[in-house]
Amino acid sequence: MQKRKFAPILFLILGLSLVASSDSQARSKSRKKKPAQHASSGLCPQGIATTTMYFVPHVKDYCSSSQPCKAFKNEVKLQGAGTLPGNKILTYTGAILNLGSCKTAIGASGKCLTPFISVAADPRFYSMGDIISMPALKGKKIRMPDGTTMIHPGYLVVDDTGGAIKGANRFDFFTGSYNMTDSKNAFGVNGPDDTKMSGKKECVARKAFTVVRRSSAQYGTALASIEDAVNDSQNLMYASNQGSDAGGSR
Amino acid sequence: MKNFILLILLFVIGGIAKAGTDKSLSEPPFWMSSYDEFNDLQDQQKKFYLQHLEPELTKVPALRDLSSRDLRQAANWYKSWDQIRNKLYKYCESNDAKKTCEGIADVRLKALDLMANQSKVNRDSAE
Repeated sequence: MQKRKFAPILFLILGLSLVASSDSQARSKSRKKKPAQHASSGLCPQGIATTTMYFVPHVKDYCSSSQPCKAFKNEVKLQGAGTLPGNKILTYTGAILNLGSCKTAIGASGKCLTPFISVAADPRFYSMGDIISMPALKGKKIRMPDGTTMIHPGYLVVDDTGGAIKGANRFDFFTGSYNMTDSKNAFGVNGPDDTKMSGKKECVARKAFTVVRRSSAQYGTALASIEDAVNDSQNLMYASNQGSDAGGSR
Repeated sequence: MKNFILLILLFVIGGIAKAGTDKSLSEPPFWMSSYDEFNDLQDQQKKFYLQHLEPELTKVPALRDLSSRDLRQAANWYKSWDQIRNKLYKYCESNDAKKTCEGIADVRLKALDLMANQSKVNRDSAE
């Protein structure tokens, strides 16, 4: 008798449960529907990064004085901006902007760009600050444009965008003041084979990546690894300078 | 038997509640900047974003009464920002909302582009 009394309630509850579950799944699917990739893009397969690089020329590498010369201005027109002494930047429009505390450039994220860590990505697929995990880079020694050496943490940060950077696995790596052919540029055409990122059509295993979203549980750990790697590179230089100072005084 | 039904009832209520709040706003499509993304922007980007976002957001029925003052206040308090964002994302789940939501997403792209890398390749591509 009791079973009969509860049977309709039981069916009602199970029905409600099924409706809620299917509604949740449908909503989840609609949320996860990603923007379409550009058909003509020629991107690497999913999970492999299609890579290029960009740089911000520094006036000291082009001109004999700190005044912008023709060669520097021409490069600025191509690269969009160039660095001047005193944390200033010359844009391709001829405007001079203050970089504040940034050493190289400011990205679309509004934050300072860090060479060999910051990447430009498609904002339709990434939120600024998302982290790209590229395990093949982890532990590689990278010579930074300021003369320091960074042990790469294997993570990159989406700090920038660009009109030509379209697609979920399309990344433009920021290399500071190193141009693509600079022998010191670890990601450049003359860089070591295990860190080279210049070949857009080179879809190889070392470019395999996963995304660490800003809200994910792993984000804090990944960000701490990046900060440690960048800070350690500065500390290494400081220690090395201290060492040479001591040596000189002997 | 009563305990069994109670257990199922709790499961169902939990499931319904989860369906209403389990939103992965950190995955694309990005209709609106997260509070963290917005907070990192340069002042000129923030100004542009808020100015252009408000008229677009008021096209969302649940945000019809949103004023620029409300949005400016939300820009300083993540909980208010998230409330607006949640209402928008809920609305954008409907297929009828596509045009409005894409208009709102465009404002984010334009705000980011203000400080984006402007190499010749990127400029040519954007034209």
